[in-house]
Amino acid sequence: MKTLVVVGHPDVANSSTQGFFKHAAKEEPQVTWHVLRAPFDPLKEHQLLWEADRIVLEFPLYWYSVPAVMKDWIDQIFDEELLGESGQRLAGKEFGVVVTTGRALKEFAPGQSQGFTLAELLRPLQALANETKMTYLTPLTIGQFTRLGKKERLELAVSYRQYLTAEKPGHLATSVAWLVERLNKLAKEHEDQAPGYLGLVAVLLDNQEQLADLGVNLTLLGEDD
Amino acid sequence: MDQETMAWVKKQAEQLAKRSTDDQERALLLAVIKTVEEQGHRLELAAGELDGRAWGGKRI
Repeated sequence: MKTLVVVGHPDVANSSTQGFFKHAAKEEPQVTWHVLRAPFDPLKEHQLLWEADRIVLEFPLYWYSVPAVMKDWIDQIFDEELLGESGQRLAGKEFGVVVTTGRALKEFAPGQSQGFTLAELLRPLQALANETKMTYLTPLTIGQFTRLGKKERLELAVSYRQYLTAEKPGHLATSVAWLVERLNKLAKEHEDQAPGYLGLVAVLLDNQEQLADLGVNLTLLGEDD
Repeated sequence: MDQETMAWVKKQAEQLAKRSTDDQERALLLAVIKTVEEQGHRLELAAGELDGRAWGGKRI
């Protein structure tokens, strides 16, 4: 799967958050990390979008919206040339959102300081995905990145990489498959420690097999009357 | 999954993480621990539900 991360930020070079994501994305060879800079070359932008299987818009929430550079990009690049006469040229691709907020995530709820959920605030992007026949992925939301501790950042790095490259981000089975692939790769890279990595692979796979078996048995027992 | 296996996973992942100089590798190993814990939790729930249904219990 080829993933295109489209980064909309007025000052990427000085953003520690984007630096963190860029560093994590480098671990995934199928990811193209593309920072938006005006003026845009429509041909180049269209080509990047056509080649991707998963398109991820990544940005800090600016006044409940995407930053201006990203809005300009959407306005200029999402045209008939990109979508084709039938409007289907992006159909079937996946559309993801990675959004960071200066406020704590819990504040984005009715009755809280922001009053609206992030899902509500991101509706325009969901509508864009809907209109262009792309599958909208549940957004990856990060609140107050600079306040995250070391352990939380390590967890975020993996969540982010999985969001970009796992088949169904957030699902246990695909998360296991994703980890197994990378542990196998580490076992090859660090041959002296291979037994350790492969042992972890075995546990992950064995557990997943047991879960699948239990799932089958539960199905066989059927629903209650 | 028994507690011994979980303890082994934690020890193994922590040892590998200690030897690694790459923060992305350490992040992966931390994710392995978390994922195995989640698998263990789901196995427990599923086994419990299976027991309940096998004995004719109603699904809540």
